[in-house]
Amino acid sequence: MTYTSYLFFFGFAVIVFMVYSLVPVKRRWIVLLVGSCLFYAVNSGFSIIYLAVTTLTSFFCAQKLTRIQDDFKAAKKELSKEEKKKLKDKVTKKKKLFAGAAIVFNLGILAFLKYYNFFAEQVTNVFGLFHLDFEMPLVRLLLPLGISYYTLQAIGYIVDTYRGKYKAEKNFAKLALFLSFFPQMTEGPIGRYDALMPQLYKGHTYSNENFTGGIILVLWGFFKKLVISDRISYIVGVVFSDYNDYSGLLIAISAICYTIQLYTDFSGCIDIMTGISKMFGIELAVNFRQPFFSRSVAEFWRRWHITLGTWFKDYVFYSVSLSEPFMKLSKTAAKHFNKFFASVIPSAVALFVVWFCTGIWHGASYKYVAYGLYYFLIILIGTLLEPVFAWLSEKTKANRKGKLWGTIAMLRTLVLVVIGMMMFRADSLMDFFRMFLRMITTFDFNEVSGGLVFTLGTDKHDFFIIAVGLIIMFVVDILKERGTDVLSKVAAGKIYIKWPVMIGLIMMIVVFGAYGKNYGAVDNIYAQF
Amino acid sequence: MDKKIKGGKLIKSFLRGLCFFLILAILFAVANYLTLPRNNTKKNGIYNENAWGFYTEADNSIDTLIIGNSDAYSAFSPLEMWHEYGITSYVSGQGNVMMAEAYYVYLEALKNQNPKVVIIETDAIFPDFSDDEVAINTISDSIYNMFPLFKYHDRWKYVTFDDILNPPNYTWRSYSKGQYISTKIAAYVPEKNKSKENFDKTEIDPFILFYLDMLVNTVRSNNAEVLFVRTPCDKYYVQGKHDIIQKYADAKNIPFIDMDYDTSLAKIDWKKDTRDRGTHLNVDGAKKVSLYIAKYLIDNYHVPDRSGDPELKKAWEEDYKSYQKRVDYLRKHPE
Repeated sequence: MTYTSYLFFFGFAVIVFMVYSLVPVKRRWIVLLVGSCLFYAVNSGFSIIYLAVTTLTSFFCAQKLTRIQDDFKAAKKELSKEEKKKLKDKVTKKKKLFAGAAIVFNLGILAFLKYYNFFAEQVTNVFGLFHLDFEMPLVRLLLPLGISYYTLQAIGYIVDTYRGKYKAEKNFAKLALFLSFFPQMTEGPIGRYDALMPQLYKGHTYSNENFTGGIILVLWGFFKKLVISDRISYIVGVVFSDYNDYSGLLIAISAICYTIQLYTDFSGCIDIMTGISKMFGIELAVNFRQPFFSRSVAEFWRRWHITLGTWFKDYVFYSVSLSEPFMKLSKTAAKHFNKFFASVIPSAVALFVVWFCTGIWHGASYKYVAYGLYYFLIILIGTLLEPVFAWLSEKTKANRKGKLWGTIAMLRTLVLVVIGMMMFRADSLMDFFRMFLRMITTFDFNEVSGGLVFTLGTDKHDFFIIAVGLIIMFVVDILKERGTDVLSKVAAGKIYIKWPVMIGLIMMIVVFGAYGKNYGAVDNIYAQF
Repeated sequence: MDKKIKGGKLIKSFLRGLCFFLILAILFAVANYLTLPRNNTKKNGIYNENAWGFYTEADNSIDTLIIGNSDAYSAFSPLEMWHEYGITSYVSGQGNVMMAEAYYVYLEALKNQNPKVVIIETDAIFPDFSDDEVAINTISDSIYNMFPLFKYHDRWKYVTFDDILNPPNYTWRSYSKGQYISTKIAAYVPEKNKSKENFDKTEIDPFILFYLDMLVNTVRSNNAEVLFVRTPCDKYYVQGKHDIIQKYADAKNIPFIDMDYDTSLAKIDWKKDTRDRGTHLNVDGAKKVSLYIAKYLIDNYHVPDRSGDPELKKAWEEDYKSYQKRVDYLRKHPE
């Protein structure tokens, strides 16, 4: 039951919504919990045990952390300054122990299920290099649905409780709802307890605005996914699997197509889920903010998969930056280098950890590690060259905030992102290098002028519809970038605005959507992570 | 007063919703008309044209309709049945067909045919899908057939101005009457232990059963009779499947011929009569099955010999010649 299937929307989400609306307001969160458990059980069967274990460990660990903190607060009132400091150290150690154990345990489950076989293969290969006959056994492992997302949510919850940002949830069922809420289960966004839980628990009464707004977002998501993403996926599949048969121009076109496919697939699914949540009166975290208007790769990542980026910033970057060894490194750097490098070196180390984790989070493959490190290198080079750029713009009197510079920066970012996406989509790291080499060394314009490009599963009619879809999407995005949220305005508008938009979207999805017997269902890309 | 206002609001909302769906329904109807296949060919959107070729057969000329999956279109030869016994039949077989689709095929056939016997090739009762897939495919097939726009929506690519003015006109004929003609021989050696599949079912899937019941009931309500046939496929024979179908057939009083259960009926030579190592029959295997079934139909269902109808005879004999020509060609030029 994928998010974009009619079975999910009409056979599940709509029914849960109807039951939700009929149940007394106070009990509505229970409908969401039962619905979420049902969704998980249907889609993942016995793997629900993993989710239950993560919920249990997070629940008890956070309870313990809050209790330790409360005890400390009560005890410190009667202590001297010296004694307070001693007790605080002791309490911090204790909290670290509990939080660390829960985090290691949950990360351990994720790591084992997601990376064990990859690790075993590498160990076997290393022994093979030394002609040693050792084979680390492979295990048939089934990755539970959404484990990469709910584990991060659980860790975020534990760390926040550890940091004293909020107190632990006392009701196990409520925490279970936070970790299992079905719209964000398979592709995120990665929710924060303090932002999401109050909304989940509060029973929302039916609101016409929420309902219409939600429906419009759902339609918008389906439009992106079925009309653009799934339609464009065919040429991508053909060229990426047989790239040796095509020249650089077609490889470049397919890399651009994949970037469009990934964006419309991922953001489309997030729109559908955000829309469904909105129908219930629940606002999910924003996961995309017009990423292709970014002027730098760093900005791109602040606009793309935002909840993953902010999660790594809050729970990895800051944790690394504030750790003891890192503080020592900062001090050493400050002693030995000038001001610029003294600040760049420590943050580069922390960034390396963040990007390594971002890469490996996507999957057990060298290409994902390389994907993360690719962005790390670009951001690092950008930071290192910043003084040079500043000097150059001063000398040439170029306005770095001007439109021309901005457009060039956007195009440069786009090129770098497309290359990154190519690495992301290639079957392996070696395939990426071969593809990239082929892209820059071979060129055959006839592949486009001769019409070959239209014979690779995406014909000229498809390209026309994709182009129309992209123009519509571009206009909506550019207006949003300028502060006008068209979809919200339509939802709040009069019937003569609302209805044509809704009916237009429905008709475009039904007629121009890539579904049915002539099309294979295209799985949601980010659901695989 | 409050209640009155609330009631008024509710009626207003209801009427608004009704208007919305009415506009949508009108647009759906227009799009549906525009995207309907203009001919019964694959190019025009008919996914499996061979199975839907009955449209262009003379009205009420098909006395036996054979419904099923690839086993059906491989194992039945309507033209051999005609040539030997004067029986007119058509095979509406589609690879991996779901029973829902098979049911709608029968309804479509009723538009210009009135078959007296409907043979259901029983392999379609256990499609090669998981339970979830069976459910999803059945629901999809039902939606596609109830609302053809969802099935043929992709035809927007080919809609011309003429399509707006002219209604569909089906002209394509299947001279083989739905049979897949293959002379290829890829021998199969039957194994002694016949239960090769992991089969743990004890009953027919509810989604399949729902449409199977509908099909059987609809056939009967049209004063026609049903016959279950399992064509030879020793490779995938499972005793459990036979037992379940037999139980259903007994309950519904439907004759069931299982040519795997009783291999003496068709006398298939697995060294010569299969085109893909036992999965499907070739034309020689199909001839054996068809002649046995044709005789059975005459003896038990009194299906008429239509060779006395000169117009029909002319058309079917021409098709038989084309069929023979194709078979001869394929024998001389192996696939």
